[in-house]
Amino acid sequence: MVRFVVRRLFFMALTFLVISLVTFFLMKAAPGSFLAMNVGVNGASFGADQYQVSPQVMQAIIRHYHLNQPWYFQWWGFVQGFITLHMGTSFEYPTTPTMTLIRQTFPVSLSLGLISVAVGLSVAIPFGIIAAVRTDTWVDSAAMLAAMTGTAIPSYVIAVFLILLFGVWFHIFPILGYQGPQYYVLPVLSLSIPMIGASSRYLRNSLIENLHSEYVIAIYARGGSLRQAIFGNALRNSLLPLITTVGPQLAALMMGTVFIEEMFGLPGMGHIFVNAAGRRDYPLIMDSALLYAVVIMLMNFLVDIVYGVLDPRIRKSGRMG
Amino acid sequence: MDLVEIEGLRIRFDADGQVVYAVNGIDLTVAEGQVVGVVGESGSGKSVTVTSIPRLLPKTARCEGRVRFDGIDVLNASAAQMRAIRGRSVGMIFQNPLAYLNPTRTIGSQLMEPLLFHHLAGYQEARRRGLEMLERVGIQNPAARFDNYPFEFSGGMLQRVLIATALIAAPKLVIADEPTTSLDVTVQAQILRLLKTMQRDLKMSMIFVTHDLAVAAQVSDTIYVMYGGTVVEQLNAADLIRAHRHPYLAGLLDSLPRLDRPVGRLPFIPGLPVDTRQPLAGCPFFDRCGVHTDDCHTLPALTTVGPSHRVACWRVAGELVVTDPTAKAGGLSGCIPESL
Amino acid sequence: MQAPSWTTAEARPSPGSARLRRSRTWRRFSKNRLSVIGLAFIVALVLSALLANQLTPYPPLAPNFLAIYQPPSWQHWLGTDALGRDMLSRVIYSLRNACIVGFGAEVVELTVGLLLGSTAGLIGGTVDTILMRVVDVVYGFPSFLFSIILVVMIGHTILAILIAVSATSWVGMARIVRSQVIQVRQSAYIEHARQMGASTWQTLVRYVLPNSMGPVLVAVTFGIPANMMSEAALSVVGLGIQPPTPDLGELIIIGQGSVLSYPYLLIWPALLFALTLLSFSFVGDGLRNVFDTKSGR
Ligand SMILES: Nc1ncnc2c1ncn2[C@@H]1O[C@H](COP(=O)(O)OP(=O)(O)O)[C@@H](O)[C@H]1O
Ligand SMILES: [Mg+2]
Repeated sequence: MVRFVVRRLFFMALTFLVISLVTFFLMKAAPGSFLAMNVGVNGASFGADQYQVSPQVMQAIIRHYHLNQPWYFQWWGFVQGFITLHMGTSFEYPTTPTMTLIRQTFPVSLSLGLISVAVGLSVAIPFGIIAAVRTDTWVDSAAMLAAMTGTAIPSYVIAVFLILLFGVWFHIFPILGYQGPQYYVLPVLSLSIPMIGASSRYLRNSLIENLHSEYVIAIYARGGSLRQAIFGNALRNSLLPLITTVGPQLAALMMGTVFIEEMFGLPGMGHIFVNAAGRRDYPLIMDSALLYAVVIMLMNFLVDIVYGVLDPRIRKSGRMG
Repeated sequence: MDLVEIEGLRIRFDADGQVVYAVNGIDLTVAEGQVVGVVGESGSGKSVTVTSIPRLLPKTARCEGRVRFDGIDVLNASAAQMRAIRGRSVGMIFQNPLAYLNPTRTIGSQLMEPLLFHHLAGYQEARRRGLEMLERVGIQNPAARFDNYPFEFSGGMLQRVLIATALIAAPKLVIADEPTTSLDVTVQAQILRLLKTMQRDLKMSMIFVTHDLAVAAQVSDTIYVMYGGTVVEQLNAADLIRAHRHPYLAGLLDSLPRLDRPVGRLPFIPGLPVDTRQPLAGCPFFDRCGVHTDDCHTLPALTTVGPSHRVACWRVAGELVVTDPTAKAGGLSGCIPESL
Repeated sequence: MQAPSWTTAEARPSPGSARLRRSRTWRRFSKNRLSVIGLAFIVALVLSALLANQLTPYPPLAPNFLAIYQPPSWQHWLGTDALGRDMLSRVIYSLRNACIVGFGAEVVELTVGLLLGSTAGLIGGTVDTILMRVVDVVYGFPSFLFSIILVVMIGHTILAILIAVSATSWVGMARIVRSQVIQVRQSAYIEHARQMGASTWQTLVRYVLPNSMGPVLVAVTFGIPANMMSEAALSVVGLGIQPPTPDLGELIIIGQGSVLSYPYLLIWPALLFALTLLSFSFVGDGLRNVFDTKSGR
């Protein structure tokens, strides 16, 4: 177990470095810089002289952001800043450290992601159980058709149908902005429906397989009921592998928050990132990309640890992954 | 009245229009305290027959006939009635113990289940009796092993655990479906001896399913020989060598390797097993039988030919007795390393 | 176990056996009727993409200020947008872009995946370890962010988007190919072919690849709609193909902006896109039935 954790942490560090390097070079290789693109327009944020940035000011800006240093220095500056949480300031908002921007927006994205996962799992589990117990009835077929639709269609298209249904035809939920919990309903539904689809189908198939396995027959042979077979045994054994699918789903879901925030006008980090990418705001691109990467890796890691602790075969033998 | 009475039992599986005729009319009785051996080659319907007693067959199974257990009409009993029997009056032991234990739960928690499901004991009492039972089936240091998981045991140890689980509620009948087939030869003998001892000590009835005639002969009082989903012969274990009548049983005995005969050719019965996709027309052994007559196109009934000895064969019914001239009493010893 | 009668016919090679196998493939595929419907939809989609110039009633970019915001009618089946452009034409061209990126990126992924996966699987050892570590690391990338960065860097042309979409998604294909190659390689008849003196390259082309085609084909069928989703998602955040070129993501965003007044601008693009994605998914399931020998009874 300890060896597994160490190995995984090492891998996460490696992935982190590779991602930061790749992102860094991509940004460097890109034609057009923030200065060239934005100074004329948004120069106001740089100083008093809005429309003609003097060479001196330009030099000052370049020094401030270490743009004249060798690449590894710049790169390490970003990484170090990220690790020590002393991130630099954004190009776009020079008076605001990226840390502050992230602190304002990241909770929105993270809570959106986590709530969606929670909703997704708490709907998917009963759905999966009912479909498994009522195999080949209309309940099962309906659930599985819904599951298939949910998995095949991305969250932003689901968002469209939810907007039409709840926002336009029934006027139940607001469809734009963020002024209270009810503004979360449609975004969360859009993100969790694909997950409900995938997870309930996974759980159903795995539960059916478990209910037909020999150890369940043995439970009946000891006088157990279907309820005891499901809740004491088969469900637990199907939820275990379901946990392993949650990791990758979380990753997909966090990526989904990017365009769901954009669609519903939520002030999350996805919005910040998209803007930063559009304006080549290097510090902000770098920091938000790294943060997403770290969050996704950490969630995957946690999911694997939870799985290892819950499955006695792994917990006791110490072999994992 | 006997503990188990099966009459005219037919079982077929019907899944997606694909019909399998697994059991084609079986009579079988088990008296209190008796050990009944059910012998037959793979696919002859042994497992299907015995799992119909606690009614644990899959949903696709269709049963006809009558199965009575302890006065209960099993095929027509309610689900609750059946649950009340399972684990309490009938214990089951399966072929592959690892598959029949939940891999993610401790063996102790599964061992106690028959007591807990039937409210025969509270948790503390169940645990105490579980430990006691583990001790009895020969698990060393039961207190330490109680909270171990199945993957931490060897196959032989797991089979002991499964035996302990089947017997913990002191059932009237234990059904052992090929309990030693998946085990090493030396472990097989230990498990057989354990089962036999426990059966005697607890004064239970036992149905012992095996494809090994020698094993059946050593464990059982009465032997049922099955072929193609029918019983072809039923006789006392003691009479097996001396008085067997059916050509199939004769062939089986002939094909056993024995110490009292030079190993040269290993005899076997030529031909293919019965096609279970067709309803049985005539004697199931017809194609492979060396002595069949025209009568054999119709299914022979199980006919009494002696005290607790019945045979389903037209030749036997017509007094054309088939005997094996090489048979000697006790000729089976040496087939398994230790006698019981 | 219980062999249906056609297996006996197939065991003996006869003039009819190829046809029998084809009909068996079709029977398994069409067991789920949705797979057939999905296939028909995809064929129609590809045809309309190829014949977009002939099919579309109006040029997709030409504004007509005399006919703005027209509801669906016989002239404009799906209505017109804020500039009076015909929505049907715009949707058809959008779907064509989606197809180009969907199929194109899949070709890239397939090429990279086949190359890396079969190299890793065939050579094994250190090469395999290194390649699979690379795959693991790329697998950890926040893929959509990465596509966004790439698009911003390279530009917003269809080719750039194609590259951005396939940049991280080849890893799945590489994994599948590798595991297939290893599985096939370990089977007895490859052993036999090698002992008969076939070279690595020969075994790869003659034996390994043809036998690992099933899962790869299934993965391709699910990969194409995934690429289409990424492509449209880029335009949802405003970083995909740039206007005025019509694009599904852009149609969705614009439609959403005026959804309260003109819902039909949102419904039709979203619905057609959803149907497209579902069709691929149904076909993928049908192919899975064909290749899955275990549960395909
Ligand atoms: N669940 C099932 N569905 C269909 N056929 C079955 C099923 N279980 C057993 N059979 C068939 O019934 C026949 C008898 O099986 P079984 O009783 O398991 O034989 P054995 O004597 O080896 O225990 C076999 O032909 C087997 O294929
Ligand atoms: Mg059996």
